[in-house]
Amino acid sequence: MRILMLLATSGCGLGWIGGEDDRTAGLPTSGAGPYQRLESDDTTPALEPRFLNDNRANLSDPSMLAGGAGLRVWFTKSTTDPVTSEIQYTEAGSAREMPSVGPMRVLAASETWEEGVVSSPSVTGDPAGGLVMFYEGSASAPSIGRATSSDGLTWAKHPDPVLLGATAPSVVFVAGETWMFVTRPNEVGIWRAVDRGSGFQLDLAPVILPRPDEAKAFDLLTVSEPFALAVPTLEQDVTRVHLWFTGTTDDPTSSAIGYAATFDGLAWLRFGGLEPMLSADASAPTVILEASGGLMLFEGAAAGGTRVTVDAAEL
Amino acid sequence: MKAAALLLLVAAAPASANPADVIGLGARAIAMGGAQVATVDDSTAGYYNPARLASFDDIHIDVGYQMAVPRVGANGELFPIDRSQGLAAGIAVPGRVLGKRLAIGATVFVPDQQVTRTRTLPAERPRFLTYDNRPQRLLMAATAGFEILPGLQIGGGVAYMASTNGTVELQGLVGFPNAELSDLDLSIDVDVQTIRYPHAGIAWQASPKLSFGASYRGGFRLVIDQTVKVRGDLGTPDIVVVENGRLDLRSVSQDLFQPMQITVGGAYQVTPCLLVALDIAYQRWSVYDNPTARIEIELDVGQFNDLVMIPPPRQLEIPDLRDIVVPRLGVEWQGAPGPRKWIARGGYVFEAAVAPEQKGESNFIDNHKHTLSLGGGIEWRGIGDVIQKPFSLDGFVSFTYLQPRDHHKLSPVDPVGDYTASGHAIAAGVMTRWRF
Repeated sequence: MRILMLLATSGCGLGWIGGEDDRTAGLPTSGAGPYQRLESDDTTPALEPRFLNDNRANLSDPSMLAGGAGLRVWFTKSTTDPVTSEIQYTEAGSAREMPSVGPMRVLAASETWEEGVVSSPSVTGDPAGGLVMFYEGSASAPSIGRATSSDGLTWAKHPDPVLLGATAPSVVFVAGETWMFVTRPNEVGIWRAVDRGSGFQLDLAPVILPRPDEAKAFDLLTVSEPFALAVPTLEQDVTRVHLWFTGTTDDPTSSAIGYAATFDGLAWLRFGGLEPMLSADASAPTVILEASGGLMLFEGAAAGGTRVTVDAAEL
Repeated sequence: MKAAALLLLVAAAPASANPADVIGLGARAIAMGGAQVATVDDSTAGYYNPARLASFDDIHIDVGYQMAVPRVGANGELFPIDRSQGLAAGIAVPGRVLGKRLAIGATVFVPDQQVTRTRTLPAERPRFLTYDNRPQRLLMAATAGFEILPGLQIGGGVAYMASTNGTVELQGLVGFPNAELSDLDLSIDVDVQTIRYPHAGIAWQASPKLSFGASYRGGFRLVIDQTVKVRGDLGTPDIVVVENGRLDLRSVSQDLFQPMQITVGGAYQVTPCLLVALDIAYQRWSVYDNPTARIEIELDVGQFNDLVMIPPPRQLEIPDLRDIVVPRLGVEWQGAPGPRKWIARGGYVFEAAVAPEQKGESNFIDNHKHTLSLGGGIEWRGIGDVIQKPFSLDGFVSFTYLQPRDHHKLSPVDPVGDYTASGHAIAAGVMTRWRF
C-alpha cells in the first residue's frame, strides 16, 4: 500500500520527491567565489546589499563568525571629526535581517601604545577556548594587539602589542601554529607572521604581491586587508588556508576582492586569473563558509563614497 | 544575440541515457537484482536476453510502472537530481517456422516527464555520472529469438535512440548600439537522426533445472552538434558600422553514453519452489569521453576584430573511466501451484565506481553501489473465460546504497574543494503480466 501511495504521490508531482529547479543547489564549493552582492528584496527589513550603516560614522573592517543569532560581527566604527576609532559588535539572524544584538562598543583604546586608536578586528575561536581578537592599534606606529573573551562582548587585552609595524591583521590556527596575515607600512604586499610559541616572526617575503606587469589585473597596484580562513581538507593533517584580500588598480577609487589559497603557507595560488571574486568598490572582506555556499561581508560605500558601510555578498 | 543564444539552448535540449541500465526493467527482473540473462520469462527478454523469447509458449503482454528516486549528494547536501519514472511495457509473440521456435518482441520504457533529456554541464560542475542524464530517456528495442536446437536459442535486435544536429541561422541587421533596431530573419534546420545499437543473446537450457545465457548490448554515445550563425550588418538602418559581419558558434558535446555490455549467467532450480540466478556483466566504460561542450567561435566584425578576444578552446580533462564487472544475484520462491500462486523474490547487485577520484577540475562523481531488492507477486491461473492463461501482478522495491567516497583536490584554489560523495536511491514499481 505504501508503494502505491508513493507512486500516486509522485504521479501527482507532490511530496518530498518533487522536482528541483535550481540546478546548482547543494553542490559542493570551496567558497573561493565569485561572490555577488545581495540583491535588494522588498520582503526583508534589510536594505540589501547593505548590512550595517551609520549616517554619522564609518563602519569598516568587518570580522564575522557564525553563531549567536546567526551571524556575529565585529567591526570598526570611526569618525574623522573628531577622530575616534573603536571596535563594535552586532548579531543578526542573517545578512538580510536587522541586527538583533547591538551594535555596541566592545573594545576601546586604553593602552598607551594604542594612541587612542583600535581598529581592524580579527576574531576567531581560540584553540585554548573562548574567542581571541587581534586588532590594529596606534596611528603613528601601527601595531597588532591581542585580546581574549569568553562571550565576544567583554574582552581582556594583552598589555603589549604582539607584532610591531603591521596593520589589518587576520589570524588562523594551523597545525599548532598561529598564522597572522598583515600588511606593513611602507612595504608592498600581504605578509605572514607565524607564532610557533615564542611570538610572531614575519616571513622573509610577502605571500601575496600586486601584479604591476598585468595591465588588466584587479590587483595591479596594491594588495591589502587580508582575511584568512583555515579549513581542514579530507586529507589528514592538511589544511587549506583561504585568503581573500583587497586589490586596487591604478585607479585609486577602484578596489575589488581577490582570492588565493595554499596548503602549506609557502606556495600560494590565485584563483580567477586577473579577475576579482567581488568587483567594484569592495574591500576588507570577511567570509563564512557553508557546505554549498558562502557569505561575505565587506566594506562598501555610501553617501556618494564619502562614508564606509558594511555590505554583504553571497556565493 | 540573446535570441540566438536562447534558440541554441532550446535546440540543444533533447535526448538522454538508459534507465534500464540504472534501475532495471520490469518488476520480476528488478526484484531479482537484474540476474535475468538465463532466466528471464517475460517480455523484458527483449532487454535482458532476446534469445529467451524463443523459449516462450504464449503471447506475453506486460505493462507496468516504475520509478527511482536518487537521494545523492556531497558533504551532507543533496544534489538537485530528478527522479526517473515511467511506463515499462513489452510484448513477445512466439510462433514456429520450419518447426523451430521463433518469437518477436518489443520492449519500451517511456519516461512520463520527458521523453529524453540532455543537460550539458560545465566541466567543473559536480554531477553523479550514474544519476545525471542516464535514467532520463526513452528506451525502445525490437528483438527476435530463434531456437536453433532443442533447448538452445539465439536472439538479437536493435534498440533506438535519437541524436540532434542542427543549425540556427539569423540574417539581417544587428542593431548597434540599440539592439531593438535589429531586423533579423530566422531559419532553423534541425535533424533528429536515429541511433541504433544492437542487442544479441544466446540461451541454453542445459537440463530441466539448469539454464545458461549470455547477452551482448552495444554501446553508444549521443553527440549533440548545434550551430548558430548570424550573418548581416551591424549598426542602424541608416548608419551601418560593420558590413557583412559574421558570427559562427558551434557546440559539440557528448550528452549520452551507454557502455557496451556483455553478460553471462546461469540459473538453477534448487527445488521446485526455489530458483537461484547469477549474472556477471562486463561494462566497457573506458571509452567514455568528457561530456562538456566543445565550443568553437568564429567572429568577423570588420574593423572591430582587434577589439574582440575570443578565448582559445578549453582543454578538457580525460575522464579516465574504467571498465567494471558487475555481479548480480537473484532468488525466486514460488508457492505451490493452485488457482493463485504467491511469489517472492530478492536480489543483490554490486557496481564498482567507474570514475576515479576527482582530483582535478572535473567532477564526475561515482561511488561503489550496493543494491538490495525485494519483490513479490501473485499469479492467477486465469480469470474466467476471457483470460484463460496465467495472469500475474508483481511489485518490487529496491534500495541502492552509495558507499561514501572522498575526493581530494590537488589544487588549493580548486573552486569545488574536497568533498565526500554519498547517498542512496530508492526504486519501486509494479507490473502486470498477461499471457494469451
